[in-house]
Amino acid sequence: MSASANVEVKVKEFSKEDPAKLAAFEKHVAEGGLVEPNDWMPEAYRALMLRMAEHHANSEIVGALPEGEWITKAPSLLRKLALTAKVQDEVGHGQMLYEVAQDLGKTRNAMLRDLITGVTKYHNCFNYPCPTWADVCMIAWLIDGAAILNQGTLAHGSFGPYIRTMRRINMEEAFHFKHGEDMVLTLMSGTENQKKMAQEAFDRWWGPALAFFGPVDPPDVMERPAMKWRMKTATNDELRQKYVNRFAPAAMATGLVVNVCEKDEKGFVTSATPDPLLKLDKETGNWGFTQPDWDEFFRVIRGDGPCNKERMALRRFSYEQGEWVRRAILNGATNAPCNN
Amino acid sequence: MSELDKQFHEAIVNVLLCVADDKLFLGHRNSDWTGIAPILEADIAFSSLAQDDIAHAGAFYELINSINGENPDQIAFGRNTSAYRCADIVTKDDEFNWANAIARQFYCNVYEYLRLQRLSNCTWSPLANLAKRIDAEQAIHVDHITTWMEHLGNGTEDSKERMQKALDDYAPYASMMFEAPRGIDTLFEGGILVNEGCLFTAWKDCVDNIVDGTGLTITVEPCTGDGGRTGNHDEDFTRSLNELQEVFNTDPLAAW
Ligand SMILES: [Fe+2]
Ligand SMILES: [Fe+2]
Repeated sequence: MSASANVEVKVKEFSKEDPAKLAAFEKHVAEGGLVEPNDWMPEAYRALMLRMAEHHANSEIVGALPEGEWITKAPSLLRKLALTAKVQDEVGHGQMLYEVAQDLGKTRNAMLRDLITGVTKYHNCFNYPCPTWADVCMIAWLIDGAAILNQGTLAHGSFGPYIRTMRRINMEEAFHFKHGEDMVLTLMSGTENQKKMAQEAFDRWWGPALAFFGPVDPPDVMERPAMKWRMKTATNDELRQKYVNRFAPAAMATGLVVNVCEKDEKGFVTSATPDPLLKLDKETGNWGFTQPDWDEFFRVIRGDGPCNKERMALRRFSYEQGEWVRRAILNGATNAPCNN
Repeated sequence: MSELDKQFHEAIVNVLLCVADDKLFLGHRNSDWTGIAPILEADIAFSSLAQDDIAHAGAFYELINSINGENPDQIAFGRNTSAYRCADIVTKDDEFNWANAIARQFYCNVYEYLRLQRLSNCTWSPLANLAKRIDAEQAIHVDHITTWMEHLGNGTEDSKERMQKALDDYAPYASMMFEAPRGIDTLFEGGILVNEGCLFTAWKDCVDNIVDGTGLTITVEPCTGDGGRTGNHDEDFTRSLNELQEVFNTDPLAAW
């Protein structure tokens, strides 16, 4: 599983930078040039890039948790191996991204601590429940599918270490997606019970998948640093539309129904009705769709989602139970930058 | 010899189940650490070992399939408690204590390495070949766990104490790895397997040798009584089995 780094990008301070240097930097970036860690960059660029990589790394690490809980329940040898390998990949993505962030000036240990104390965040979609095997299938298909789309554009960004990492990660995400697609197809060509499981899980994940790309674009999106400095190369709404264009017809082709759902506070669906806006506009080639529940989205981001507490408790448990091991391995140097 | 006389089928399947079930459940328990191990790099490495074990188990279930035609997933997921042949150390709850996981891994990995070495000398070539191939990978597992024993034994006072406690806690379970599989004498007498003497003694020499210089001690006794190898499993095993079968059992005939 993986995540877009939809960090808030409000920057006031970059007007302080040397105007000539800033202009040269912006020209370089606008022309498709890459920024390397030792190059001159606006402080705001460094801060945002660090936050973006850190948020992305956090998301990989926390994203390993909901699926990780299903490794021991995977129903065949092949699925067990594939799921373990996938979750392991996500941990590997986290490790690589923490390294990118670390080069921008924050130790891994500091990042892991900020994660468990709630100072920093991770991707919102991991705060939703994963109550059945079909949810594992949907996460790998819908959420990794969303991640591939998003990270495909991030791989054309401006920060060298980050985009190189994106390229490596995206190759693995493609496997995750294939594994997810195969699991969904298996369920949808299985028993009535399996199809029902799949539809219910799809209903739980379609909304979070749409919200995956972040809130609706503000009017000045192109002027904001993330786009202007090519940290991102596509806006949230562009990505969301592309996603619906690809996944709505794909879901329907398997026999799934794209519903608009209401959910209770535990993230379980209380009502589901077919999306009335789901129509192909022949002129634009775009599929219409109902926006995800943005009130719910912001409520979950603020920490009041179905699984925020559970995910953080497990992450904290993991950090704390490992403390003595890190101390032993690092001879007491728990703040050493590389191994925490 | 690639054809195995029918009179040995039952006994050889039993021996293969001992290996496959040990590997399946050790991998099963260890894979549960994926995403929450103490250090990211250790997490990734430990998960690879778990995946190896599950894949190795699969190869042994395939070999069983070549004898009796049973589907490997059905063998792995579809049996009742008493039909599993693993020693219960592999499913002993580690309570997400890394010292427990390392102690369990240490005892089991060295044992597996020696067992596979012996199975490599089997006169039935499909098993000899498989055991040889997997034992080469098992040697890497032993190297890996040896490094952990050295690091944690020689780490801090705290880490040494924790490791010693875990080694002691798991010692009685380690004994039960040496419970003889039913029918193994038939295989010795029939010249299918080679009796190379006491496996426990060989294992004890090997583990003592590894911990030498770490300040850790091994107090495992030879096996007595009946255990997992004859289908007498404890509660931790049953819990692991229930978890393993949870989704599978909702419809054992469905494709997943
Ligand atoms: Fe992924
Ligand atoms: Fe990922």
